[in-house]
Amino acid sequence: MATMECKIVTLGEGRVGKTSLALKYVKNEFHKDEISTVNANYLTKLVQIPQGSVQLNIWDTAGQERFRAIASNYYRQAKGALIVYDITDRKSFDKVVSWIKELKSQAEKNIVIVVAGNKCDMEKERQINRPEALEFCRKMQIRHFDTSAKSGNGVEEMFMELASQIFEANKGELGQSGRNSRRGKITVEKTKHRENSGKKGGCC
Amino acid sequence: MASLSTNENTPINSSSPRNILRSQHIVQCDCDTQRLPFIKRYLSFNTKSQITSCWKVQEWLKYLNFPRDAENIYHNLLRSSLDLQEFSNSVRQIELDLKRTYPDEVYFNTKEGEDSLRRVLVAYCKYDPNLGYVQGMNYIVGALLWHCTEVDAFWIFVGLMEKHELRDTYLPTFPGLSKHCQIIQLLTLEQLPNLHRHFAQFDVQCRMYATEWCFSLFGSVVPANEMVSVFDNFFQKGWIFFYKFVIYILKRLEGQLLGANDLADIIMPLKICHKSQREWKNFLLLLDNGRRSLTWEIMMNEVSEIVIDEDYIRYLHLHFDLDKAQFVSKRSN
Repeated sequence: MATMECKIVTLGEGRVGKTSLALKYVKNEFHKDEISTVNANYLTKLVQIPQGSVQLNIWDTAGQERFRAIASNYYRQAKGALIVYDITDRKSFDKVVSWIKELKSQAEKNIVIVVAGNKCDMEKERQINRPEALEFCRKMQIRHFDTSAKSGNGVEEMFMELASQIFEANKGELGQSGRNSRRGKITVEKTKHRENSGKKGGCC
Repeated sequence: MASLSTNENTPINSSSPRNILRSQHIVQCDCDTQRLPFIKRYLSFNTKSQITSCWKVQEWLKYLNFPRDAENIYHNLLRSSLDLQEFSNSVRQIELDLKRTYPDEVYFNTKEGEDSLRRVLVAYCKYDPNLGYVQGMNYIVGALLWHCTEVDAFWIFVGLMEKHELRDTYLPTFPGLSKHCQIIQLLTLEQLPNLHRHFAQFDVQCRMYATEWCFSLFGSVVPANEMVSVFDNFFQKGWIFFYKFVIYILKRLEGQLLGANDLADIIMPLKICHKSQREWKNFLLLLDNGRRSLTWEIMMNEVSEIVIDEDYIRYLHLHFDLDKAQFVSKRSN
């Protein structure tokens, strides 16, 4: 069966758990005080879904506002985005709105977005009502997940959903470029990337 | 000095700050004991009550010109308050990062460690409100605090920012990062042509691996105690040392990187982050191709032996336009 390779990014305010979610999913690790991400981390995992398999190349970006200016380097050509907020922090939820807006106007048209309300193991300190978050995501037509990188709750389901939605959204391209692929891998993402890289001077 | 206006919003205890600062922050490094003769080293039990900067820092102080009333200025900065949106954003971010700076070092998990790190970073945000706090600074200041007093750490950090082009790195859109990445690419092309080709083939951009190194001056990789030699070299050679270090790591890993045929496999070994002493040892092993002979001292020697065209790099630095984020043929007026 063909493997689809795709890039996804994690976005969201600082210390909401972007790195922790990605690490929990990819390596099943959890560190209480994960070190802060400068710029971006890179992780990959092969996901088996009923329709085929998807290799998720996860760019885990930094949360600080200053790095937002260069976040577009990472979500450019991304097939999926995971926007994370911390259920105990109202401000981080407000950022979700602005990320969605930015992605809808700047990123690829068919980018798949999912929202994660992380740290749901800290229910007592919850600041964002669950119905409010669900209603908001329903309006935006985006799937919402309650996750906890600490306990692992919801993490697997979320990435599976992301992978299968991406597969659905891009299976057209899979068929077309299938014949040219090397070793049965469909590098949808990479071929596109190379077309563009000619225009940029230098690395930055 | 006269008006002691205690600001409730800032988490800084401002009653008689001088005494508190002096006694609260204890220098953590063992540079001074390491220097003692063998017998004395075992007789000294007072290493963790050291309240002056270590001897290596004392060496730097000789050629770093602090303002005459450095201590007063620092304390006044701590006491002053700033009513700016950017400032409160910075403070918020600093708060988030305190626990995430050298998380394996017990000291930075104690109240004293956290407080002193917070004070220096917040003071810097007040000193340079246009810039504010950017992630990565926490590692540099943390490593400095490991070796010196708060006042020294603050002013050495200011020196790095203002006299050693570190500030360019943190400016919005990161023009300094562009500069360093372009130079690193030139150097890889010159020194490691095969690797350069390999990187181009898999679309590995310099930014993907060198950003953390650049923003933290390797503080995100090298443990706080060892960082003293990074600063030592940086004060002598500036960014030339930084480039040499990057090239050194790439040279050491070249075989492994050339063998990797996937963006992920190429990036992973370069994305090393220091979380514990164990990971640091693993990194040394990785650099040494599985042998156990590489030590930090050998590494620093080998880095300094790398030959790059230093004059040309200095020339390039002079001809970098920060606004355009590229090298220009003539210096703009």
